Amino acid sequence: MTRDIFQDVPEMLPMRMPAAPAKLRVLGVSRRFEEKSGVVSALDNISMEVGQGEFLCIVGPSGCGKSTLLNLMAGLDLPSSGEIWLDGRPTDAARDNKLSVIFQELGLFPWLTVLDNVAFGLKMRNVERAERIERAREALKLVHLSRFEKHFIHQLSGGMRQRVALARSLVLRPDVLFMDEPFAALDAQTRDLMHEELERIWRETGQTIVFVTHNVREAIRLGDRVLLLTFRPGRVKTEFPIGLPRPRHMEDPRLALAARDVLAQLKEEINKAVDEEYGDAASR
Amino acid sequence: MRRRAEKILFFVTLLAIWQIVYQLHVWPPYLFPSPRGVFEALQYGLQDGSIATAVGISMKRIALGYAFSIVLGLMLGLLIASSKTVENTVGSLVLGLQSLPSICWLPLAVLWFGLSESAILFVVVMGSVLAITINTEAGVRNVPRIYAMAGRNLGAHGPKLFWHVLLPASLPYLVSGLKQGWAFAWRSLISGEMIFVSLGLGHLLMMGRDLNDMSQVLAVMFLIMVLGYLVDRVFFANIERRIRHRWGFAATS
Repeated sequence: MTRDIFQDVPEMLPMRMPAAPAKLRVLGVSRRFEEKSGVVSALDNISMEVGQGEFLCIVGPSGCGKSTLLNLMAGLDLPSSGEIWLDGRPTDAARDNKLSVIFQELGLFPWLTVLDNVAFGLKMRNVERAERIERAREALKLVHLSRFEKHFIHQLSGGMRQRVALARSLVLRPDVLFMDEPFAALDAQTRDLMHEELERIWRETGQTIVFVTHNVREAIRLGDRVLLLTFRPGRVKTEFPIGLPRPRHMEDPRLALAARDVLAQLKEEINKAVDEEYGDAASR
Repeated sequence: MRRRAEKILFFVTLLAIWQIVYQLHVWPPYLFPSPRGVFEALQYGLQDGSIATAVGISMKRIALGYAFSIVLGLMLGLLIASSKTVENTVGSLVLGLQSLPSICWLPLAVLWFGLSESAILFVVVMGSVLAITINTEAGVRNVPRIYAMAGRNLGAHGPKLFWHVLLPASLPYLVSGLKQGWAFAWRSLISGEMIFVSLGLGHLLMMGRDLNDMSQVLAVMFLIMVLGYLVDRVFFANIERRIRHRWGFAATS
């Protein structure tokens, strides 16, 4: 039934595989956690890939393991089974050099200036001082924060902090940039602005981005492709290629139309989650 | 401006009451000297060099003892913060020992090191090292997890993570530990110097007592107070202001 929408506007949402070769591959990955109540399966035999230069968004109900999946892909956690490949090779211990994560809380360092925050990763890689300052300034220019390089973090607004975090990751030219609900705490206007900025930066740099969010419209606003995960254990429920032209706008009616289909499927998963969490109590 | 006037008025009144009580001859002058007598004792001590010598010796001792405490306290604090077993064992010992006034270590120190510089240093270190240890531990333990996560993701591992992330992130705690450590070190030093002949400010104080020279006793007490206050208010207040400037007000609470 939801397919009807696609039939109405086939040119807008062409079903296609990612055009570029796969940058990152997730092959039959499961992740189980041992808890007091027993073993909880967060992800179950999940397979997916991220294309070179692709902007991939992952959505799902809370508790579907989307952050777990991101942590595994970013090398912050190890799968219970399955493999993750980067550039056609299984990832190894050195992969954190190539995979950069922006966390929801950002974790900017309050004891460093904006410039030193951005240059931090280069310093850890022993890049010499003159070069790292030059590269950090370039990155700050990209996010339009050049005038604030001497500021400390607490002097910046929420949106500016997001940009510092972006610059701090981009300066390392990571293979893949992972973002875990980075804009969840921002007000609506600032979030719209960050969407524009992120889209622009992505187009200018060709950076491969994996973006996790629970906000369906945000995912469609940004992504080349949206993956919807099922409620526990997480699997890929549906893959939605988003063919809308860029730059996109939140108010675009075609965007709302595309969101309807994703939302309908998300609703099914949320209902499952509600049944599982409150079902026992309701039947009593 | 008004606060300052209040303060000045308070201290002037205090001096006036002191002068009045002195002039009423409630106690003989050698037990209760005049403000002027204390001032003259201070002046005399400054002129004949006895104060300069004593301050020099005390400062050298505290610099050495305090430096030793900082190194030891930082290392101990990190060790306790880094392992549950060490926390459970050494950590509880540290907490227990902290309730022991440092001067209690003096008899032990004298037996071990004799009447020497080492004995005084030992007392100073025992007085201040625990405060620094406890605050270092709290500082490292309270570093928000996100800093370590972000640091690791940016390529900081092992010693780099420690030097460039964990240590600066715990700085506000470290400074309050260093401040407390300083206060304890200063108290321990003066008590140590008072108990055995050793030159230094504490000794100068006891010399005043031995000579029944209450003016000198009060003059030296005044000096000890001013020196302690200066380090606390000038040195540490400055560092704290800088940290507040960098971190914003959130981190100072």
